[in-house]
Amino acid sequence: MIKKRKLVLPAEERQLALVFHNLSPRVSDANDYGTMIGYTVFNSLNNFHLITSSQEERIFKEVKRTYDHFDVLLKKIKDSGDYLPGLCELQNKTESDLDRFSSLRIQPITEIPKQGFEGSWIFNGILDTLFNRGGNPLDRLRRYGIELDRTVQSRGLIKGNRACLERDYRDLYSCFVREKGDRRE
Amino acid sequence: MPVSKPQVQPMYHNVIMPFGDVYALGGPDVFKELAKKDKDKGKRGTKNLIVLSMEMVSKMMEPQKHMGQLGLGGVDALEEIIGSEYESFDENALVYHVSSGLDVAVYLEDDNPINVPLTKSLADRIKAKCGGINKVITTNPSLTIRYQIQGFNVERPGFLLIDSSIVEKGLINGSNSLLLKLIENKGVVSLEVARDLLKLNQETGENLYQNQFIRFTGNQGHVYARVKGDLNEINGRVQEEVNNPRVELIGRDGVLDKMFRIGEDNPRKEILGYTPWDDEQYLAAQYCILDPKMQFAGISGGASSGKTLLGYVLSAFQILKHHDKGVREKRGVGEKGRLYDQLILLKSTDTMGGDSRDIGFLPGDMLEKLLPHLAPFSDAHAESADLRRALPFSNMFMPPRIKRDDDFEKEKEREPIKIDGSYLPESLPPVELTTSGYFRGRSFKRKLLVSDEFQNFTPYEAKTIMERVGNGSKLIAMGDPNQFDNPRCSRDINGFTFAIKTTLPHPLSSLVKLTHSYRTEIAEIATRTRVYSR
Repeated sequence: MIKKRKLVLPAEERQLALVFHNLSPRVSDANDYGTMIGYTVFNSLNNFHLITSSQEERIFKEVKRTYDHFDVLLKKIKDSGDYLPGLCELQNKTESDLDRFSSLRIQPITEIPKQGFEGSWIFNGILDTLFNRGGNPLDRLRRYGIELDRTVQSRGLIKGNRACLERDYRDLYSCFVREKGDRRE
Repeated sequence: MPVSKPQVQPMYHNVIMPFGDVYALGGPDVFKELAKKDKDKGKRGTKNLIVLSMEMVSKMMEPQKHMGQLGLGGVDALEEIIGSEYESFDENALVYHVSSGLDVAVYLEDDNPINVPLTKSLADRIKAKCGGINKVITTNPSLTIRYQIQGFNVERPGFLLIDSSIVEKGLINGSNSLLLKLIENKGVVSLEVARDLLKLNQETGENLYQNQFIRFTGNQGHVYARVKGDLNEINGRVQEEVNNPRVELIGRDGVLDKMFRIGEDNPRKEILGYTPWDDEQYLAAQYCILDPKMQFAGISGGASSGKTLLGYVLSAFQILKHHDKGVREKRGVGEKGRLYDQLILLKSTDTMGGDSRDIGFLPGDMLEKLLPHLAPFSDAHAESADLRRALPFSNMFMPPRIKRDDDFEKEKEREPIKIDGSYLPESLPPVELTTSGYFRGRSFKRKLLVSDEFQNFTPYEAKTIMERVGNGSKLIAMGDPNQFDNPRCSRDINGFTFAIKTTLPHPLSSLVKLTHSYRTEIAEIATRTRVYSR
């Protein structure tokens, strides 16, 4: 019996470098561009929930969810012909979520047990960074978005599906999460 | 090799070994930063201990390149140590009681090889005496790897480095809630309310700075506000603390019309042919460069962001006589009718031929040697139709009423040069060029100091430049921490981020980052591509 081969997108079609390559020409303002990336990453991982014992599966699902949100955003921008409505929508959603989180006590990621964790590790790291390390959360997301774009654009495309997901996860984590002792602004 | 943290006996809270490069950068400040603080948790010891080997002490005395860093900080640090009380610590070792939270132990080792700051035998002695070294601090990647292999916890001296993202702080994102409040309150909200609405956590540090811009995004475009306060003067000196700190909408209800407003003159669309290409350029021009109250204007921007054109043309405009009705009325229409007497272009010599930090021995005066390196300013001069028509760029460095050497046929004095209805200085050359090697001892009064590529100055040079800014003067520093050419600078150690960090909280300083890049697609590809060889 011939087994039907599962259709897998080539690696080059799903990775942050390509997402940014498609998104950047459509956003004329670099600050808005950084803001858009920051808010999209935040929103994509909010409410992420996965029961799995595999660390790798969690990482891959988190990154894929981020890709999905960027795809939706890109489609919206293409359809409307302008990025501002999409950005305003993102801004409203992010702001209301941040309002909600700001009234809660955010547990530092170092205190969260990895065993049995079902949310997004990056998202918890972002919350920890935004609310326990100080600063203006909305502006931090903009700055981290700019940083992510710079990191991804300068390293370029990655070959191989697994390598893409792992590298994108690493870059998302390093740009958005400031652990204790991290002296970056 | 197992990587494990050594056990510390309760004698000291932490045992730390910063290498010589850390002292070269931070001098005695290293002791302040590494002393045990009250907030440091744990019951171990009441002090931290810093360990020094005699080899490192000798190196610290040499004011030359030391583990990648150049500086005299090591000498100052040693002077601080020897001014403290001391006692015997171990065999061939002394401990100096530097502060209530810090001791410094200096070990004499006979067999210490050159350029090895920490030998195994020294590490063993420290382990036997006080449990071992908790962390080693260095900026040197080679030493980092070497000691990580040996199982040490190696850190970078974060307390001495300035994150390059500090340049992003000139303009921050605002929240819808703050915008609504501003609209409700006729465009003004107190700083305290603004902080709450931006969810700033005061306990953890980040604040709103004076003159910081806040941007709100709407469906139709952007709305801008600015942090302001009434200047608080004591004996004629403006204090860092302001009265009535607040956030105010700028422009027309927050929308920028990109019209230049200079003193009481009528708003104008362009200055010497320059019109701002985007919002950030307008903010930099109107609120940083052209604002006579500002003593420091930091303009950050990548390649092709237009910062040189903006900085040069608007600065040239400010040395024209009586361009501002307010200034005119205050100072009269004579020579004093201008805001600044002269434009001083500061250049880092490093970009022009290397490591020596001087301008070399080739024939010619400083201007002749440096003119080719002023091409960015020369291009900016040519881009301004008004300046280009009035005089060539090289004549900006000549006294207008004194005949030039090569101009001997024209015996009579030249007429004062009129640009945009005003006159260039009549007694001084409009522009003076100077380099970092010639600052010491100078003081600039009523001068407009403009420096491009400020990231190529070291923090020490930047400090020297900033110290020279005399009464009535202003420093416009333009730079990009990602484009350093000086081998002594890095992304987190350079004069530009140093100047920004030092001046950011002060109400007489302002900062804008130009984010738009006006270049071709090919140039964008080149920018994204990493090249390491030089």
